[in-house]
Amino acid sequence: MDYEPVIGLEVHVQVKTASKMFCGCTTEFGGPPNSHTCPVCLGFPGALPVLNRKALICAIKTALAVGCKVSGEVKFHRKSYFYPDLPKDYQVSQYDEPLSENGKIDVLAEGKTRAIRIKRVHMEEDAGKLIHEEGENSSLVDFNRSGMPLLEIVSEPDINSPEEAYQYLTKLKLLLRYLDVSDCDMEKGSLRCDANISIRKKGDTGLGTKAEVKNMNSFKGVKSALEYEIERQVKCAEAGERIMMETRLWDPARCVTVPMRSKEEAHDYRYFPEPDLVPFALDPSLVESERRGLPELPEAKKARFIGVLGLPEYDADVLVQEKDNADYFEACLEYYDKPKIVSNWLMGEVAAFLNSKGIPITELKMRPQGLAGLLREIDSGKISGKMAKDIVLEMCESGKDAGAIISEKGLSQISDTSELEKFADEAISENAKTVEDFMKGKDSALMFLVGQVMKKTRGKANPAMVNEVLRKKLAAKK
Amino acid sequence: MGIKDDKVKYVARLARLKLTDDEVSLIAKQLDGILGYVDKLKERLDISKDTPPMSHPNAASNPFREDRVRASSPVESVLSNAPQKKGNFIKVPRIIEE
Amino acid sequence: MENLYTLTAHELLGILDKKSVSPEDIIESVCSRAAAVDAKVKGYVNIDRPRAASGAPSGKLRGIPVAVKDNICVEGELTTCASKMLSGFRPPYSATVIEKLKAEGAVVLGRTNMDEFAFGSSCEYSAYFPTLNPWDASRIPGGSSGGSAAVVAADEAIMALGSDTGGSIRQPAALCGIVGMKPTYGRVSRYGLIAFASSFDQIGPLTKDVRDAALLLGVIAGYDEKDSTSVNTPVPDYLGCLTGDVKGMKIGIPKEYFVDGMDKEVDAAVREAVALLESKGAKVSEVSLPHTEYAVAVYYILSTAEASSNLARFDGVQYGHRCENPGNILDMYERTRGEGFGAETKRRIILGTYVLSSGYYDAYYLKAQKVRTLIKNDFDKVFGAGFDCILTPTSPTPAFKVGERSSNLLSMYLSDIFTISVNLAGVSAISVPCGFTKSGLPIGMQLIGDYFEEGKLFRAAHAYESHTDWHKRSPKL
Repeated sequence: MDYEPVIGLEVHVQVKTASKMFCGCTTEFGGPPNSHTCPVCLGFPGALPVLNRKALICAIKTALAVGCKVSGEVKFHRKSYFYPDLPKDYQVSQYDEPLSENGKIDVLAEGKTRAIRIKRVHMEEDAGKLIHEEGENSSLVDFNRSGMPLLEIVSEPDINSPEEAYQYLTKLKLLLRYLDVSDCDMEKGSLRCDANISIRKKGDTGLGTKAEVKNMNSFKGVKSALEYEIERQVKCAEAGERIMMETRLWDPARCVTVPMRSKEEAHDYRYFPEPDLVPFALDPSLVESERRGLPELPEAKKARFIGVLGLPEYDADVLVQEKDNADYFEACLEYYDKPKIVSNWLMGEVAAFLNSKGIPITELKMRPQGLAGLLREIDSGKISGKMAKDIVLEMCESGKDAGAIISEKGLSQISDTSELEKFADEAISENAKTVEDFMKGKDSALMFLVGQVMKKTRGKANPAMVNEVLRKKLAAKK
Repeated sequence: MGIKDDKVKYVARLARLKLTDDEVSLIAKQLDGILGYVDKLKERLDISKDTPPMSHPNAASNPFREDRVRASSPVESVLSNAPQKKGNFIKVPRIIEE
Repeated sequence: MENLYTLTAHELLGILDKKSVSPEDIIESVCSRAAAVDAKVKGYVNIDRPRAASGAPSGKLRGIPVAVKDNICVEGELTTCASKMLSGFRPPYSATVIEKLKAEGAVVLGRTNMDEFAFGSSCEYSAYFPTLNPWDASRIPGGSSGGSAAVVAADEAIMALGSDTGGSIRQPAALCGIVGMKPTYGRVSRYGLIAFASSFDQIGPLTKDVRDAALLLGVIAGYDEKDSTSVNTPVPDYLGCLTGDVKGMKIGIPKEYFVDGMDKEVDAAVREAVALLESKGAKVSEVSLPHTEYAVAVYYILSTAEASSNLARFDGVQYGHRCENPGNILDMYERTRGEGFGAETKRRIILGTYVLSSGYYDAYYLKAQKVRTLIKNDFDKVFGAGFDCILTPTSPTPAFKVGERSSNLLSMYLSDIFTISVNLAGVSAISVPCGFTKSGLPIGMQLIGDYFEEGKLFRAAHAYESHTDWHKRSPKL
């Protein structure tokens, strides 16, 4: 019996604002416990929430970028449940009138691009953190995270495979980083993902009983957890067992999902309109101006790099993975008009440098104008490509421009024929045997002579010219 | 109508409220009285489908604030009312999560 | 000097400015009075003997001691909502109204008793003790701001702050023979008011006369960026509205508020007040607020729903009471809340949770919200037809006896019948003394005004007051 998985993902991202959702406490990561809190995010009696405008703007941007329809009104609900990391024992969230609904993300997986529908994008606040101490009878609560602004992004159960889920998350992260809405770093907790997964016989259109899977800590973890779940559910079905509707936790150490031990009955969240936040109309001109102000999104940028700038798909794909990289690339083109060359250097030497230092391109001391300058020096023949590779490293370290380094180190490539002829003559006279080999037809002997000239000029000779000069001289000898 | 004791116990669990059996019975009777009164009124009133529900008496003046960081509370004031703490954490009975 | 405690704030300001007395004298006088009589009234849960500010007092309330209801946060001071659940709680911040009081030179005198978490109309549900009506110690002072009303009536405070969710300022003011006002929803900041029902609550003044109420409201009113429900509209010069003249004011008398079964003396006193206003040039006519009979039901659905949610935070985790030796987190929650909350509080939490729970939300909560719209529309129609105020009795009866209603829940709830609609609509209302029963119990009349029209209420109430001396009478203590 052939089964297919039906997967929906629920993603929570922390929004990159300076202050929390409903109060002025900092959103800075880390900090000693309970040092980024105030009566509002602690839920002290009498404290009241006030909405962070930037959080709303980020939510609107996100909604527009995934093609959702933005609501005409901003309305919050209280979602009630008791848990020690939830100070008010309710979470301020959005219920039946979320900020936005009905969008989609195009995901490329296993060679196919499919549209995964987005059911909704809405705003809510985060809870604090619970720490369970080993061997202790108690748990500890830190409310620094309480009140952080979150976006909840819920997909329809359109995802067809664990690989597609992985690509969906990758695409979502790319989009949100482009919008500067969130870092989407699962390891730092700025992106959390829960999955709903069920199986059905291939060709069926109904939905089977779903399991909710939590506690996945990386995109790869999501993929592995889903792979495991599919296998487990298929085994169940084939054995004639009923698949339970339950919440399961991914155990990354043992690579299995286990049912949650807590015997919580299904939550009755008792949603009702948040009385401390008055619903208000969202000005359509605000939404329009955000729509107009959206940055060029990765797909469009990639298409433009290929279609207009003539980059190969591979290069375009690599460059658009980080908006800052793509921006740097385009900035170079303002000073130098060969996109592929720029791309080569960015994907090669520059990427290697950034990786070795662990810094993003925004912190690179060599700015686009500098790289462009270097490339022009190569084109003019003043330096060789090989020399440029050393120069670029120093440019990255120091921020000096190419011209300055070339002057300081006297690195100009020797392209003056008369100078080269002098060295060529020397090389010929010092290497009679090699010359003889060449005359006899061993073409590769020439490379050795070129190498000798390069040594004499300490690498500064223009190799193509050296080649030409030597050939001429040797030809004359015949 | 009849609000039964079981219903009160269920709602008390939702509200994390421990009630004695006597309290449960008394509240069940009292709730029954109040909701019975409410139901009678509902029978008399014809609410048109177009009547909007009212959640607030007036519109928001200034529904949001700028994204500016303000000083947080000093941790001593945060913990000054804590029934139990450990270092700068609030301490609660152990939560069994998995 | 000895009788400073009998004066109003505006009288004291006059004497202070003439430098015949000092702020310290005022505090001394009021505190001695409280020490002498509070054992009989039990209006205070705490009197902090405040020090007067040094130097010449300044501000609109310079040197005036103000009593504050126990549900308004004062930084570092015990604030308990008269509940075991918050025993020992000292908030790390003050309510905006307290900051405003202090900025105008007022001094917080003490914390007044209330029904626990403001759930009640008699002050009998306080976890401490019931407050007694200064006019008759066998009777309740009203609630939930019963403590604030009683201490002002007994001259144990010059003025007081209370909170009003369904009548909790106006009803005790009427039952204690003083002035009490619930401002328009959003007029006064709720930041720092421990919430009962967030879309109903307002903080307001309880004072000896209308001028003092106008003075106090002028200080505490105003937009607060920390309260998203507060409204950014300028605060008028309320004192400037006290012209003493009601000529031409259009006053509506809603027929639904004069019902059979109302106390005959209350009925008579209010009708006499109407006649007085008419004789001074007010144009009085009958109006209708047709959905009045549904108000109590709507209120008890919506307010308990909001309250059940607002009180969820009292869970023993960060502040307040926590039970001993909890076995696990569920045990901690259930026992903490079972021990910390009184009977009426538990009742309201259960009712509120029930009407919000799955399966009942549409039938109760949603329907009640729709009826709330209908009730608001009733007021909009009357004010839209050009009426300046609506006049009603504040309470259908004078103060009832301690214990008389506490076992009949519905009758307790129905004592709010004249005040509740005002909170549902969110409009403003003031209660002023308008007579006494033969047995010497105060009777109050209520004037209801359109949104942000407190000025008109002060004008009409002050004009009425200037032709009577109910407010000059004091209980014998």
